[in-house]
Order: sequence, then C-alpha cells, then structure tokens
Amino acid sequence: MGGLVIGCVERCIPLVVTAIATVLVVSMVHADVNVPDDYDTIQEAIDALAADASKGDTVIVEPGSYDESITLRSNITLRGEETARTFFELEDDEVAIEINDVESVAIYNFTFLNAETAIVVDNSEQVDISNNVFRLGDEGVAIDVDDLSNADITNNTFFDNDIAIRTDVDTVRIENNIFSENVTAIDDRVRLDEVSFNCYHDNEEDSELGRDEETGDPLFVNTTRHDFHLKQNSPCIDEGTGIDSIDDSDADMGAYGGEEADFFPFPVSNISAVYDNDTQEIFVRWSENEAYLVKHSESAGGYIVHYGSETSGSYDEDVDAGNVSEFSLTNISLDVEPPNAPVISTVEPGIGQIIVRWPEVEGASSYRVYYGIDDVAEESIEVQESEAELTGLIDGTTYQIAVSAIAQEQIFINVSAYDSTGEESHESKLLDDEEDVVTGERSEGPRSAIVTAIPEEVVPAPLLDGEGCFIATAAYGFYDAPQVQALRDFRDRYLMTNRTGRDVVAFYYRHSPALADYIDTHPEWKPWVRALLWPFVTVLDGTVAARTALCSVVALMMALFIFRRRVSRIYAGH
Amino acid sequence: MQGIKRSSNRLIQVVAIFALFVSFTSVSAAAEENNDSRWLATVKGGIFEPDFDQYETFYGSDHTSYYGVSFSYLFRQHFEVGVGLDYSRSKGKGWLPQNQQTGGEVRYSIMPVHAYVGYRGKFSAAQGVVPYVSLGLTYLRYEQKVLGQDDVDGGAGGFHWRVGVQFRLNSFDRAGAGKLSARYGIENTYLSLEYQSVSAKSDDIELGGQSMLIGLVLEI
Repeated sequence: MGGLVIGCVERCIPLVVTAIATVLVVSMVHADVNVPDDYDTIQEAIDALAADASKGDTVIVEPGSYDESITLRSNITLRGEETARTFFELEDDEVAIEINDVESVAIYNFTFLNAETAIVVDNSEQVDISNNVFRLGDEGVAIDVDDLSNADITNNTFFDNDIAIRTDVDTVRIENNIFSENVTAIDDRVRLDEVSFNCYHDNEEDSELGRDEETGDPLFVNTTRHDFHLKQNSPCIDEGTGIDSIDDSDADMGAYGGEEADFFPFPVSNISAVYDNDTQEIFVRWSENEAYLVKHSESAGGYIVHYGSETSGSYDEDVDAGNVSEFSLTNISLDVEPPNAPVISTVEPGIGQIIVRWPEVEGASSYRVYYGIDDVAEESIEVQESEAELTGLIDGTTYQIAVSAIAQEQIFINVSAYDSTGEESHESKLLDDEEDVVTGERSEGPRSAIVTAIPEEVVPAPLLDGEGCFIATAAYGFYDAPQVQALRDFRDRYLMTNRTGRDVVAFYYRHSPALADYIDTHPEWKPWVRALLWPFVTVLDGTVAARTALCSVVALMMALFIFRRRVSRIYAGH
Repeated sequence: MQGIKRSSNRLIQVVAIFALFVSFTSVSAAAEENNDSRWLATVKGGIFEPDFDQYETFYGSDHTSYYGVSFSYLFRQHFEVGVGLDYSRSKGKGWLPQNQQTGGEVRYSIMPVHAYVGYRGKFSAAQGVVPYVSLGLTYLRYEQKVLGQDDVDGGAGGFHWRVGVQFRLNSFDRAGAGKLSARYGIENTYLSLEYQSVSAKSDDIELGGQSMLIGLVLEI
C-alpha cells in the first residue's frame, strides 16, 4: 500500500512542478497589442486587453497624431513608440486620458500637444506617468491628481503649460522632471513630501521645489519641432536620481532620462542631395542632431547615409558618415545606355482619341509618345506606363504614332542618426518625407516604327437602332443630321471633358427621351424646336453665311431695342 | 458551339422517347393519383449561342452565359401557361469602320420576355422523369453600352420554343421534401435540362439564339 502511495507521489511531483512552472511562465508573459496595426483606436486596444488584463499588459502606440479621449483600465500600460513623434492633440475643452477607480497603470513616451487637461487621475492607485512631454499652452493643465490617488510622476518634461502638476493629495511622488516656461510648475493644495531631483526654469510660479532641485535653462534641442532631447552642457544631464537605461549613467532629468525613456534619436531632417556628373559624386547634406548623445565634443554619435535605386523608401546600401552633417558618396555613375525602341502592339481608336500600347522595354523609366497628322513629331507626351491615351484628336483624320523609351538613373537618399552608446547604439527612424532623390541625364532611345490610326466612333455589333435618344434627333428627323452631329461634337469637346458638363449631359439623358418622344408624335412642334436650336447649331457648325445671318439678326434686334427706347424717351419728354 | 445544335437534336429525340414511354406507362396511374399542384416556378442558367453571325468576332467566343426565371400555371394536369424572363450579357469590342478593325469596349445585353403554353408528360404525382415542351411569343429587349459613347437600346418581337426533361428530386431526401410540402406547399422539386430556341429580329438582324440550360423547378 505504501509503495503504491509513494509511487503515485513520485509520478505526481514532476507533473505538479511542470504545472506550477507553466502557470508562472504564463503569468509573466504580458500581452502586447499595437495601435494601429492590431486596433484602429487606442481605446479599442485598451478595452480589448482590459477584460483579462494582468499587470504590464501593454498597448503600444505607433508614431502619429491621435485625437482620442482615453479612459485607462486597470493593469494596462500605455506606451508610445517614440516620444517625439507620438502625439495627443485634442480640442481645448477635452481631457486626453482619464484614470478613474483603477490600479496599476502606466503612461510612457507620449507628447501631449493640446487638451484642457492631458491626464486626470482620480481615486486610483499605483499610477506611473513617466517620460512624457506636456506642452498644452497657457490654458492647459498637464496632470491633475485628485481624491484618494497615489501616483509616481517621473522623468517628464513640462513645457509651456498653465499648470504642470495640480494635486490635492500628498501621495504623489514627483522626481526627475523638467518644468520649463510654465505659468505654475506644481499647484499643490497639500504638503508634498516626495518632490525631488526636478529641474525648474523660467516658470512664473515654481511653488514647491523639493529636494536636490536644479535650475537653469535645460537646453532643449528644438522646441519648435517638439524635440526635447537635451543638448550638451544642460544642467539636467546626469543630475536625476536612478539610472538612464540607455547608457547606465546617472539619470537625466526630463522625458529622455530614466528607465522608461525611448532610445530613438530624433529623425534627421532637411536632407538634400546633389549629383555631380563630372566627379560622379553625390553630395549629401542634412541638419545635425544636437542631442548630446549624438553631438558631443568628447563622445559623439554619428550619421548613416542610406541609398538605393530601386524604389522610394527602399535602400540597399548604407555608409557610416561619422559625426558630420555633409558627406560625399563617390564613384556613383548615373549614366545609362539608351533603351531599345518599343514595339507598338495595339492601337485602339475611339471618339477623339487613340489608345496606344506596347510591351515594356528593359531599362526604361518612362516613354515618349509622338503623334501628328503630317509629321509624327507634331505633338508628344511622356508617360510612365507602357500605355498612352492620346486625346483631343480630330475624328476621321489619320494620325501617325511612334513611341520611344527613356532611361534615367535615380538614387533615393536618406540619413539616420545614431547615438554614442557604443556597440548597442540606437539609430533614428528614417522618414519618407525627408528622403531626397538625385537623377542622372535622360537617355532617349530610338523611336518605334510609325503606325497610323483614325479616331472615330465605335460601332457596336450587331448594328442596331437606338430608341428615344435626343430632342435634336427628333426635331431634325434623323441621327446623322449635320446639326445633330454638331451638337454631339459640342457635347464631346466641351461638356464631357469636365465634371459639370458631364452632370448636365447626364441630366439631359435622363429627361430628354420623354420630350423627344413627344416631338416625334407631334411633328407640328419640330419647326419650333429647330428654330430654338438654330442659333446654337449655327454658332457651333454653321457656314460663314449662316453665322453672318445670325449676327445680322442679333444686330437688328439690338438696333430695334435701342430705337424703341429712344422713341419712348422722346415721347416721355413731350 | 455547333455542339449545342447537335446536342439539342439528341435531347429532342430523347425527350420524345421519354414522353411516349411515360405517357403509355402512366395512363392508368393518372386516374389513381391525386395531384393538387397548380404552379411551376423555375430558375435556370446555362449557355447561350447567339444566331448573330459575327458574334465570336466581336465578343471573343461563340457563346455566353444565360439566366432565366419563369412562372407558369398548370391546368388539366398536363398543360401549362406561363411567363418567363431571361437575361444574357456579353462584353467585347465594336467595329471601327475607317480603321477596318475591332476596337472600343462594348457591353451587349439582351433580356427576352416570354409568354408561352406548354405540355408536360406527367401522369402521376411521384413520376420520376417528366418530359415537357412549350412554345410562345417573345419580346426581346436589347441594350448596347459603348464606353464613351451614347447607349443604344430597343426591342424586337419574335417567338421561342423549348423542350426538356425534369428529374424529380424528392426521392433523394424524402424528409426534406415532406417539410417543403408541409411548410411551403412545394409538392415536388425537379432538376431540369432544357434546350431553348429564341428568334427575334430587328431590321433583319437575328438577336435570338440557342441555349442549353439547367434549372431547378418547384411544383407548388
């Protein structure tokens, strides 16, 4: 019996240990979701995690501008991917994030640009607000901590707010923050014991400074561009409590110090590139990143120039330029051989147009389509695709058409910055809209063989009679009447070429058949309709004599009108 | 697609034999069975070969898809009178007379409306195979849409006839058939195979054609 029990215990122990380990591992794995990859809005992501959230479950928010009012739920961390480019921008009367009746929540790495209040904490515990930038203007409150709450507010940068922190509870720890150019730094309605290692500069009212404070200009890199990294010689560098995760040094004050700061240097901007065909060099310039971890007199980071010729935003080569703000890429030739002549495969005429197609030519970056009546080179257009639509052509006229291929080398260039934190240094993101491109000389190949085509109306098969089309058709008696053709030409040239005109034509098509039917069945109206249409038709397609007659009628009517007015005045004078 | 005509001839022969066979073998049963069905509703689809000569030149194939619905009233067990609506659309090119080539983009659709009388060789409620034949008048509505140009539409009168067989499906799922009967009054469900010929001319241009259709028939 005993042996049986022992045997059971022996077998059970590994199972129990395995089960406990599994539970521990599962409980330590946090769920992370991404906005906007996984959810369209931040609130949707929070609500999705909230149902079964354990402490540390994180909503990661990609760089961008968000205008949501968020309600945070227990055990959820809200983390922007890049402080300098992940913005909350709301209306002046809105609250960005509300934290009510929850516990164990954190907000990291956002920049709050506009709101009535950025974060309101009410009746909540274990609230961690770190490494954010608050810049709400002189009517905004950055953080408002109310009843029965405790919160850690660390390593934030408060710049240009009405009130940076307002609290009526004493259970708030305020450390490693920078308060600069606010109306009021800390509006405390109770005595705070845990205010320390903060930096104050140019606030109208600092209130309680706490222990180990620093004063002086924090030397932000560029407040206009919301780059609140610190420059070399800032009094806030290495003066905080704790450590900087980025380089294990003493903590900096502000949004880019401490343990939760994002590591990305600010993206490089103002990139320009020029190609010198003689020296076969590309000169690249950019604005330098003045953050002290990139630009430092003793320990500097540097820049990487990325380039490639395939597509915009895709770079297959890169070179470390060092700590400079201009660099030359050498031995780069943008000369290309002229491509072969295309072979026109199809020519498709329509009303006033011809569509030309040809197979793509190797090495071609664009094509030039030549066309004309007497000479093929009378007109030309350049297209990127292997198809061109020649419009505005005269129906019934033979056009000559030829195509040539054009080759032009181009190189897309972008630059990133990296910091001075050694082998594990951190590199800034590449921004597509900062990319520059250089192009070489255009090289046009020979023209294709000339083909001819005649723009004309497509006749559908089988050839059937239409019914109930136009008032004019009804009035003039048959579809091919020259007057009807003149009106059709007017429609195609002046109405179908713009949106308003197309709307007019659509309206006419909807309502004309009924009137046309009426005219058909009441032929006595036809002369009257023809008389109404005569001025239009004459102007559009009349002979010189007809136009002269029209002008004479108009002049006669005006003369009669003037004569009548004069006669009336004479009689009125008597 | 000359096959449609060959197949149709064979089908006509088969249906005729079926009709004779069923007629002779079911006469006695007719008196015994009580069939209350009065209506037939049909949904069908298949291929259509227009009689217009150069159809393949302009539309790339000598046939196109074809769909139809019909609804008929049954009287005196074997006779029906009904109406139907068919639809077919083709996409292809038009003719460029001065260039002497095809071109442009043309969508050509027809919508024949039928009124017909027919005969069904059904002599018992549970008859497995039912041949039928019908003929009637047709009004064929046509429309041609040419990209960038005015639409052409109109209609033409004509006639049609059709022949086919219906295969009773009730025996494959008696429980389901019972429910259909109890809930919706659908007494029998058939799979139909049909050959149809439509003729409608507009200015001597034949717009009709031959079609082979498969369908679902509800006897209500």
